[in-house]
Amino acid sequence: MQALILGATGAIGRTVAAELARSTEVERLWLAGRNQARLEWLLDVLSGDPSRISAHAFDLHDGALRDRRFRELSPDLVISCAGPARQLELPCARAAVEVGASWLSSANDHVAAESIPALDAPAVAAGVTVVSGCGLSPGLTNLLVALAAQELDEVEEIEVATTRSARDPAGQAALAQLLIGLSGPAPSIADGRRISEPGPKASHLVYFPEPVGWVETFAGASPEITTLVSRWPGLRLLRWRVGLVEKPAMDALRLLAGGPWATRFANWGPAASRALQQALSAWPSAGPAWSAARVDVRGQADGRPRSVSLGVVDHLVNLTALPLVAAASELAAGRTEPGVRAPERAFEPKSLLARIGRRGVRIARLEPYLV
Amino acid sequence: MPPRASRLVTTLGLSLVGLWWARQRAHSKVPSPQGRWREVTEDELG
Ligand SMILES: NC(=O)c1ccc[n+]([C@@H]2O[C@H](COP(=O)([O-])OP(=O)(O)OC[C@H]3O[C@@H](n4cnc5c(N)ncnc54)[C@H](OP(=O)(O)O)[C@@H]3O)[C@@H](O)[C@H]2O)c1
Repeated sequence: MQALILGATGAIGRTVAAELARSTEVERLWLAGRNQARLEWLLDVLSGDPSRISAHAFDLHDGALRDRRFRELSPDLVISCAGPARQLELPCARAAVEVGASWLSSANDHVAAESIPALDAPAVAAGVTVVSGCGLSPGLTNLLVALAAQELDEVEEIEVATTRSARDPAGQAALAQLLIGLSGPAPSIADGRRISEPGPKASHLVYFPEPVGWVETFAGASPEITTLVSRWPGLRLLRWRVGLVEKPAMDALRLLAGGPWATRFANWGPAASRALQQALSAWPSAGPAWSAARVDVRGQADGRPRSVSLGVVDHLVNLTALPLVAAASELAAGRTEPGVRAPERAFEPKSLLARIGRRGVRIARLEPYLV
Repeated sequence: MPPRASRLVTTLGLSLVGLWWARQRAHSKVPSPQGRWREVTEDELG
């Protein structure tokens, strides 16, 4: 595989780069970001063979330069960890398809997710696969839903919840995206109809895999609302929720998300994001500094109602980077069909989850106490 | 700031902090575990 990583200098990108630098499946690895000094530092840390790993600084918003770089490098796979993804996902994925490269990203922006299916025809024509959103949520959550659905004859309701600790290290783009997902109405499905819940108002306690446990979550916007509906169109209920392990930090974030400035947060610049990140992680907390996701899938099996709850827990960078690395390996092996594919359609959920589990991510099933 | 305005601001500020603190206390009690999270084994995924 000849892979180009966009956003390689970010928290997720660095982890993906380190994993792929060690992989024998990767013949050539290009690392891209805006900051030359950080790219050089990364090259230094990875200390790979310079004829195999090299760095390229360019701004993805500069379309002409980006397209030229893509043509020059001519990768067979572009992995994007650049974000926030709203303005970047569609133009960059299209540019990748145009040079005959498959696309894999950590994007978790619901607006970007709605625009991606437009690339299906060009991707099929180019014989490449586009998987937008293959990190934790969307990504692992899609795979868990598909795994749970294998136990049901009919899927009626899906609830997805994610949580992270404000002290679990992640990048500024991830925090900006969380704020964007909480600001504005939260699309969901209730009684079989698509509705908009009024943002992060009503709380709901969710029991995540230990050591995380109970966390207060709120409705938000995430790409699963688009991807899961296209896989299970007859759903009666579909909801996505998120919460920070630290309640006061989540209160502060909801307060910020309620303001008119929230959607513009992505443009505030790194200093503002860094300040917010430091402020949030400064809350004293007895809770664990982990992140987790849980899916609840309800439906019918053998003519009876049945519910399956699955979850994952680890640090956010692992939960996001490891699915991307496992997916890259599947794409390199040519086991995916061309076109735009949601993670659970592009890959066999069990085999991808097994790969991720072997890397240490805890995948668990809830066995409820009978009370 | 005139004394009445400053008293109003202080009262408002203190009530907001009080409300927030009460919410933290009320919500810091979580239910007992909902169940047991059992590891999904490699065999189940195989
Ligand atoms: N699916 C999930 O569950 C999940 C979880 C976590 C994160 N994410 C997503 O993953 C992405 C990365 O998150 P992160 O935590 O790693 O953020 P981060 O540390 O802030 O990294 C962002 C990266 O994107 C690069 N970038 C941003 N704008 C760019 C542009 N115009 N041109 C070139 N490079 C650009 C940055 O380069 P510079 O260093 O030059 O600024 C940096 O390398 C975000 O979109 C985030 O929302 C998804």
